[in-house]
Amino acid sequence: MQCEDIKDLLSAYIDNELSKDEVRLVEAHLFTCAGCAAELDRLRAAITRVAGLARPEMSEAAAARLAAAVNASLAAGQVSHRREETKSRWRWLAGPAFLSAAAAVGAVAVAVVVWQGAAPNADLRMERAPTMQAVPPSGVVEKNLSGAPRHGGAPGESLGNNKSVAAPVFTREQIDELAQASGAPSDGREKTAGTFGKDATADKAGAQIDAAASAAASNRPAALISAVQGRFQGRLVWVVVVELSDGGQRIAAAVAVDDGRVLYRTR
Amino acid sequence: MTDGELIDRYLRAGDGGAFGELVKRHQDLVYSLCYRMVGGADEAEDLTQEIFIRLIDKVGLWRGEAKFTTWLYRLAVNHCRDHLRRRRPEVVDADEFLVDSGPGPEGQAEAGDLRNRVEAALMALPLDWRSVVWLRDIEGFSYQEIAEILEVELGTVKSRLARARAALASALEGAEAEGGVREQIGPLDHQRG
Repeated sequence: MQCEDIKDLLSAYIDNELSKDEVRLVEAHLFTCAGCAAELDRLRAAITRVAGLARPEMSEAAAARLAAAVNASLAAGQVSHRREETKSRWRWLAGPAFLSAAAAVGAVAVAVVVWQGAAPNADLRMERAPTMQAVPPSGVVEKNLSGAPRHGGAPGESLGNNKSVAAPVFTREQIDELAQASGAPSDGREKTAGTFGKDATADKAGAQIDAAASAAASNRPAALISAVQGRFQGRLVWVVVVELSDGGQRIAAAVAVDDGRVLYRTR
Repeated sequence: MTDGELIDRYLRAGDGGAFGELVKRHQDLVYSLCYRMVGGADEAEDLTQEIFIRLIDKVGLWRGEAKFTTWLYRLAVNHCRDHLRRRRPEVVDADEFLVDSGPGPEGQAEAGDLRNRVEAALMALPLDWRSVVWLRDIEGFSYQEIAEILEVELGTVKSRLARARAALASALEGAEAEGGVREQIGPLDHQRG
């Protein structure tokens, strides 16, 4: 057999994946061919070195974040089951679906205010909010709820949500209005990970929003698009939308106000 | 408890703790898979989260015909592939993948230097080659398991491994000969098949 043919078999030979006949052929050749024997050694050496590489490990903090995110999603799934039963008008908002819908509205930044039970949070000043009605996405739809790839959306295209209740969607202007009403900064404020929280405004709300946006962006450079306070899973949260500077990707997240934990992030 | 038993407890009894246990059991391997595919810790962390959150809905689809780990890693590989396809192609500095970042190759000590070169050489391989080397030589999967995880033919696994290992050997040899790794590493092409 030619050296070229033998060399093609060496890798499988190392792994004992050759037939008995092939093994005999290879070994017979190796016995007399220094070149191929050297090639075998090269391959084995490369494998040994690669095998010695440390496995990349999650930091403890990352593992904790994973556990928190999973638990939040598990709980949200259970909550949405309960809401289905009560046929609440806002049932689609309970759980991860609302932020997935937020992600589905792509270029139109969406911050959806969520509340549980009957009365909205008095801090939200929802009385001043414009009437909520379904607004067709005017830009590119990032993905529908089943995670299909990005596609260009035409005006009037549905969110792909097969729920029967029309999902309330906020336009950019409505979000800015809401944000201002709740004391949150409007978009255009660029922050890098290093300055998040450091040049926060003196008031508590500003610092909290910084922390929320930073947590949502996981310390990657991002611009804060919108921030609205609301309730999610019974906790007071900031619902923030940030746009990552390195990838332009938009992330919507519900971040707990008191400890800055990311409770839910866009999928 | 086996994976199957944990999944059963979650699906039938709604035991969220069982699901959490499943996550803990497999998070390291899923994370390292993501890291090897995308090359960055932050991205790998995000992807790991996404994969396990999706698993909450998808775990009911596992029928037990393949090992749970094989099925899970296939899910993870596909998720990472989709992510990479959507990401804008970029030229990434090989330094990002060095295990210990520090002074350039000229100034580094022998042992650490060698590991850095190997890491960089591995991460510089095209994705399809990198995957088979990682799955076989680092994680020790069989050819059959690799074929199932990557959803390719057995013959494809064989030929990819052969080429990948040869490329790796060349990269490592070249790196040693010239005393540095940067010359050997081209732009990292995550889009290339």
